[in-house]
Amino acid sequence: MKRTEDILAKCIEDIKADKTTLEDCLAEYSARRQELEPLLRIALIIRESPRYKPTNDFRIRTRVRLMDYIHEEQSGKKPWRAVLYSGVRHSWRRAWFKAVMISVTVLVALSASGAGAAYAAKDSLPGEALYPVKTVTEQVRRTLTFGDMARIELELALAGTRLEEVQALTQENADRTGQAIEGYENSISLAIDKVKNNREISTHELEMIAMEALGHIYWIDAIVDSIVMRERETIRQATEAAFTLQLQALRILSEEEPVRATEINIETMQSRLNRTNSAVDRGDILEAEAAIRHYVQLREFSVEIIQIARAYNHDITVIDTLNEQAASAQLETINKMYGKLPDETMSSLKKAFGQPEQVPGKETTNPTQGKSENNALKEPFSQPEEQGNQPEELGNQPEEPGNQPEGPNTPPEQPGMPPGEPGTPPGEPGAPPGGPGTPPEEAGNQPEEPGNGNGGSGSGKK
Amino acid sequence: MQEDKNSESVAKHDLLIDGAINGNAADFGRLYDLHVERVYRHIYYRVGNNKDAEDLTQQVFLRAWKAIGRYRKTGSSFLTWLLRISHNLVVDFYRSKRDIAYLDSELDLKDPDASPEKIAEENYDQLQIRKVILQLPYEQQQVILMSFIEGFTYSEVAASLGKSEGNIRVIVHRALKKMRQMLEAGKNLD
Repeated sequence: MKRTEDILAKCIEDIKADKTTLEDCLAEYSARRQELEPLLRIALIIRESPRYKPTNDFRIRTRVRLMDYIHEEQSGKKPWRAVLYSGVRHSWRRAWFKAVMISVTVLVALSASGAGAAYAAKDSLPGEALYPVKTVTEQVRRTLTFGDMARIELELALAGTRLEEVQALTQENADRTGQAIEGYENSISLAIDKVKNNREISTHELEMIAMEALGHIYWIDAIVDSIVMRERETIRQATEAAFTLQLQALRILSEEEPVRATEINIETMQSRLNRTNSAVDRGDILEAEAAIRHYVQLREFSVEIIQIARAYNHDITVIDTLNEQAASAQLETINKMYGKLPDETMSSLKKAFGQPEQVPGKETTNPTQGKSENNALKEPFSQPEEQGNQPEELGNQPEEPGNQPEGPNTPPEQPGMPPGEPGTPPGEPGAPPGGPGTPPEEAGNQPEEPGNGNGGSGSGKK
Repeated sequence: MQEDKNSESVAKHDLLIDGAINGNAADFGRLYDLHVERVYRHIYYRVGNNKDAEDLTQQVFLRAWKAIGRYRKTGSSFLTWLLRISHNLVVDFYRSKRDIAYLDSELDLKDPDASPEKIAEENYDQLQIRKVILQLPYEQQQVILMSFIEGFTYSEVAASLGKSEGNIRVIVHRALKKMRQMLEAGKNLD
């Protein structure tokens, strides 16, 4: 005679697998029907729900943040992105900017003749009488800054100053933003030169530069959104400069850490899609097209990262996986916009998803394409069913705008900030047991309480 | 053959854990890929909304990274270890809220094709069931959630918790009986 728990387990498994029905099972074990029926009915109500799944967007976003945190921690520096995500955004950038500006102020203060004027000039804007004093002061600072990374930091800080000026000018004097934009491009261009020509910059610093460039892109987005259409074109030039800087930093980062470069590139791609989506929602097609152009450029760049990784003999398995996951999440967003973008824009998107890799002698890994070249995406874009599916695996189901499944959570876009919502600061003390269903103490593998876990040598991770 | 594949997969997973313990971020990233869905699902069921589930899932992996030097492969499985971190974070989360309103929070379980009556009925059932599951003793709660919500087979639950499949079947039986008692008593639920 079987035990009740065995019968129960068998019935539950068989019913879940559609091998039998509740009634058949109860008939088979009719002697235990009274005991089994209520338990089986309860068990069947709590069948797994497919809705308990994180979105692809969340999975990727969180992975990127996690890796950011670990890399920051391992480089011995404060995990600044974790701080940013915890809600104390901007602190790092502000501190940096403040340090630079204090130095400038001190420097100028030392030259008795210029002290008063320099101080008065620090908040001046292009077109104002004291602005030349401000730029001369910055030039002096450049001259006295030694070391390539220090110069890059200075140029990024000065570029930030230019964006602050643009932001201030757009309130009333948008026609005077040209000089500030020119100054921005000049600073970014100087930073790019330093990144290109110095192989001593650490991977951590390259990451920082790439993320700072992304911060600038968000900042410029916010400025563009706040002004009238006719002034936008000038300001968009600044976005091009920031992108160029980011790509240059990622290109060099790819030589040593192609996975990190891929993660940052994916984050930037998603940010462009999110921007496109929000622009489409408010009917701003020009802005949507601008964002899509950058997105396509970044997709192409993901191929370049792979090529660099191969050239430096890195295993690209993880990169492939990341790109596949990202493509799946990105398709969700793209599908939501289907039919709302001009044909030409959709064509360039399709091309980005269908373009074979141009690496002679190598198979696979155009991250934009997936594994099968014969199933290029067709209109409308295919929506992957499950995480990890290749975008082209789902063929030609007709989909209408508005009938797409719910898209990924779009992180809010805010000026000067990296993407994403504030997370929770890491490093909180462990949770004491308590509350409903508190777990019992268990020898070993207690992650939350110091001292548990067989003496916890804390070995390994530095 | 299947056993070979399983042991190969376990060995690979163990290598990832070793790598992560030794500070390899990429290995930890792979572990994240493998387990994030299960962790999210575990948390979502407890908090009942996407936003908190995402926040807490993120915290679980940050905590896991910080504590991974203390993880021992000879103890419970890596996933069970992650789920324990999840559980502790959820307990903290509700403690900070100082109420147990989460027991009444509704889960979005709607079948888009179902009739409004059917949706209402299903939501009611799920709400009642969830209330009683969250009041089960920890071990029973863990087994029920892993088997029924998180999609583990009994053998996976057994391996994760370091028990035999027979033990797991007994725990499921006891848990379902306890749930039946609570549902019949009704007073605990409303």
